Amino acid sequence: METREVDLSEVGPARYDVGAADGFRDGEMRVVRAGRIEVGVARLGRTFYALHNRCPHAGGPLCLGRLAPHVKAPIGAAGTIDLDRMRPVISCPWHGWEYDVATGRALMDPKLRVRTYPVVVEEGRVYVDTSRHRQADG
Amino acid sequence: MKAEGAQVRAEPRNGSETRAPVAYIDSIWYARMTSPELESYLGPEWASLLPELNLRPTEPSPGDTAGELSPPAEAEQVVVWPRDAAALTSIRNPYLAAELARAANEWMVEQVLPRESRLLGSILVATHLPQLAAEEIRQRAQHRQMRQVVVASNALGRTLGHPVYRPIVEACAETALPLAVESGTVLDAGREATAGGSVGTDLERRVLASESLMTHLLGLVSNGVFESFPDLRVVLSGGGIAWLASVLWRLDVNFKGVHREIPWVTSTPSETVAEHVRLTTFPIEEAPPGELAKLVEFAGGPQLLVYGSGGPGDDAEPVARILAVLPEEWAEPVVHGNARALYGD
Repeated sequence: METREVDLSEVGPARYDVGAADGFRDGEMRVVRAGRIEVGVARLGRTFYALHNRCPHAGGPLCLGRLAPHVKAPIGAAGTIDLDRMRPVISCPWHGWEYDVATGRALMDPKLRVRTYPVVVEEGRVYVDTSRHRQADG
Repeated sequence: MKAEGAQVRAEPRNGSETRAPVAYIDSIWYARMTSPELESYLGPEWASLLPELNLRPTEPSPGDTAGELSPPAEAEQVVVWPRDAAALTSIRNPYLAAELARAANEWMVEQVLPRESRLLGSILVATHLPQLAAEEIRQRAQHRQMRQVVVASNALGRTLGHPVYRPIVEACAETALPLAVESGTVLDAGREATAGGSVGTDLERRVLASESLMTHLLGLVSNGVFESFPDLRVVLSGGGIAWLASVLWRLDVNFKGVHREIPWVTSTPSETVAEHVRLTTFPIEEAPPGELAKLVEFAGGPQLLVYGSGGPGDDAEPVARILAVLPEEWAEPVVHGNARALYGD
């Protein structure tokens, strides 16, 4: 995973141009400053995600952590690990707390959720809208 | 589950007045075979190995033989544990260890349990050969007074949650008997009794008694044992009750951070413990008044505790002593209801 911090200029009300879509490699997480907040923008396959770069657990730089598929196992099947590649997860580098990248929900604490933002690709450019929280679908 | 008609009242705090005795369930009452009994139940072939192993009690002590020192009449039910169970772990010969456990169980069935119907037995198993232990559990569980399985420490150097011990856990779940873990820090228990290394003095042994329980608890949780066996109950005994809050605080927060490593564990550890694990009160900490209950409350509350006297003997803890350091409203669950739910009628 690659991270880099760039100050973005606002191209519309709370709308930021993160860069060319084809400039993102699959699995890349890019941490950018959008106004007063830092946002992590990730590409997985053809989908882009954006979330606040702040872990709700202890305030760690969440998006500098590991981006990886969700790990699951059949209940009670110790020693069995399956990867759910359709469900990317970000792990905070400070304490390892994990969040569903799409919904922002903490995997092991339903009370915690990191903010996610809508991302759109228009004419080959990736835009993040920090005025709205993306509605969780999970 | 709460027993109907249970007569439980707290003893007077100041000890100055006398009330009707408390009706309670004692979850720990020790009994030990005398040398002749051990020799008889072990048989001459195996008994011939014993002198070198220095296992025989030299002096009779309270609780030797089943008939000595009956539990107080107020005890409705009494769970009898084999004394010095942890000594089994020091036995290097796995077959001898299994035979000793078998002999103890045979003695329990023939000499202890017939004396009174309120006595509930413990099936002792050696952990050296888990498959043999599982067979012993399944066979002894058929006796209606046998209500738990006792293991002490571990012979294979792994926590009881390790898959190598799965046959034992599986047999407990299958027979619906709680798995009771004795802290296993008797001086001669040898291996793996304490986390930092073997200890040399009785002081160290007593103070560190909770260490092996912590290790086993973590092993059981992280290996997903409670997810695999949703009805399994575990009793942790001999290490007091104050340690659990500290462990659960650390466990819950770290669990969220390392969950990808153990995705088969689906519940927060403190919730798992509240549902599956009980601690015996023996030996209870002598903490400042009120502080002990706070720690237990942090760990999950009075549902976690089952009263055990640890009798007979000078270090036994009468029920009044336990009630004196716990909130009055905890009396019923701690000295009666929790044990009834765990061990049955």
